[in-house]
Amino acid sequence: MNIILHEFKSNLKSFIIWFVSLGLLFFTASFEFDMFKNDPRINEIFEDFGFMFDAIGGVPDLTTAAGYLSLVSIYIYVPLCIFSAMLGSRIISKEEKNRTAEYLFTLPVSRNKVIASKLVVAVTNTLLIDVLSMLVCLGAFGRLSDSPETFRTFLFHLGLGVALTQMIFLSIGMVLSSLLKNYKKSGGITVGIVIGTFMLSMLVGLVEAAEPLKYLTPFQYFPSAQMIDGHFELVFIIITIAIVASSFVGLFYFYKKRDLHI
Amino acid sequence: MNIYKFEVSRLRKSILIWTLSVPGFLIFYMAFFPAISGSADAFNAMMESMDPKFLAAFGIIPELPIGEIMGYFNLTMGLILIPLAIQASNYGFHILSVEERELTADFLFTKPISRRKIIISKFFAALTSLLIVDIVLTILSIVALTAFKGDEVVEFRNVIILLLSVPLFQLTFMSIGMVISVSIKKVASVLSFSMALGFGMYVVNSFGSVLSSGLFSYITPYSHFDSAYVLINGHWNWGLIWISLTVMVCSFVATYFLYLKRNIASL
Repeated sequence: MNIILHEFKSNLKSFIIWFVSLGLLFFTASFEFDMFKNDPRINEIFEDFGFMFDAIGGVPDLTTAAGYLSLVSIYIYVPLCIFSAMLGSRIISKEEKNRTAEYLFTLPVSRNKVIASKLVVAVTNTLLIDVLSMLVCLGAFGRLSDSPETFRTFLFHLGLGVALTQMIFLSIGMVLSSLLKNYKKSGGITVGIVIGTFMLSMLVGLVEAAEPLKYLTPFQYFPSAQMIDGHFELVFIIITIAIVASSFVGLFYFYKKRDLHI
Repeated sequence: MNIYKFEVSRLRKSILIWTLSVPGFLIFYMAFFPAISGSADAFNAMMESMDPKFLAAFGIIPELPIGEIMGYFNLTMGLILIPLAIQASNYGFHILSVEERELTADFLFTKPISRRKIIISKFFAALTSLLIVDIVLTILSIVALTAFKGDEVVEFRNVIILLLSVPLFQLTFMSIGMVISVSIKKVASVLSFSMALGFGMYVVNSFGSVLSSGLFSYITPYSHFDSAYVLINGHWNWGLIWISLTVMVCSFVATYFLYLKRNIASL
């Protein structure tokens, strides 16, 4: 319990910075939506570009808050996933980086317990920022939405989709920082994976021939257009659970044997 | 010279990874061009029927349809700029703060060399690393364009002018990284800072290009170095680029003086 409290405290500052800047971003976006929500011309334009949006499941209705949010949702997915990826990799490697590993691991607690506590904090923080972000979106866009009921359901689905995607990157970040010999490398590699899969996701959304590659990028697992009607594909849920579960198992397995850098 | 050599060799692995991954991604992206080039005609017909100003507000540029090689290259460059900005900010935040973070400051600063010499060597080491990536990127862009263009015409002059702006784009991010790293007490995690700067600016730019107010385009270097403008007009967007250049020069000057007076944390 002590470790959990301590970890919460030491991650609080970065959590607040992330949350405040994301909140500002969502609010700015809501003003943009306000500008054209009553302009039906937007939809005509996007209808014509329908073929560009085929890969993400067709064009959403941009005059509704849910439709607009689903179009810009990549900027909800990516920053939150970067947050989780960096949190996962930092929370494990920070003892070695701050040279506190020696102190922590001479205390009468097992490595498993330390890792389990850190895991609890990482997962809680991930879910917390997801829920809080959705609440900000509800506040920012909800006031402009004509059908608050549908919008709330959409946000619930979106939050779920984002949380699942976040968990993938969180678990990858955590397992990499326990697996890689050099504690400095995990952060860079994890963020590299996030940016790389983001760029891949843009390609998949744009080029039809790249469609089979969507299994390689978590950003295509729960596309926001499908979140409007709450459609989660079973195969992607299975892939997500498989990645997350095997990463967490790997985390405990590799960390137990880890040669700590002191 | 010793410090320069040491810093470059310290960055050796990072240079290798960036030179492989960024141009590698460019080629990967460009390789998908032949798959969509067929849809160009339908796309162009549609473009002509619409008000260009209205399209521009959505980041759709009539002169550069994605069905044509230049439009597709513009799109690719728009994404390639993200890792380039992150790399540059990463070096900016890293190179002057690394000694304090790794507790090697005592060792370095007791050597009989001036801080002036240290900062200049470090700057050139980072610059060299950036230029290596840029040169490889330039060569491979031209190779990729030639390989995947099919029977379309590529204006290589505009492409070269665009690629020449990439080092300045990177230097802008590096200078901001440097000046922040010498102004604050401690750069705890280089990656958090460089992600915030490199990717944060990209997000600001994406929102700015949809939001037609234009206010955002003054803030973010991504819009100053917008590739679409260069590919259409064949010259840099001087109306905006001077903002980046001014910020860069001011940051470098400030970095220089702040570093000379910095209270360096020692053991």
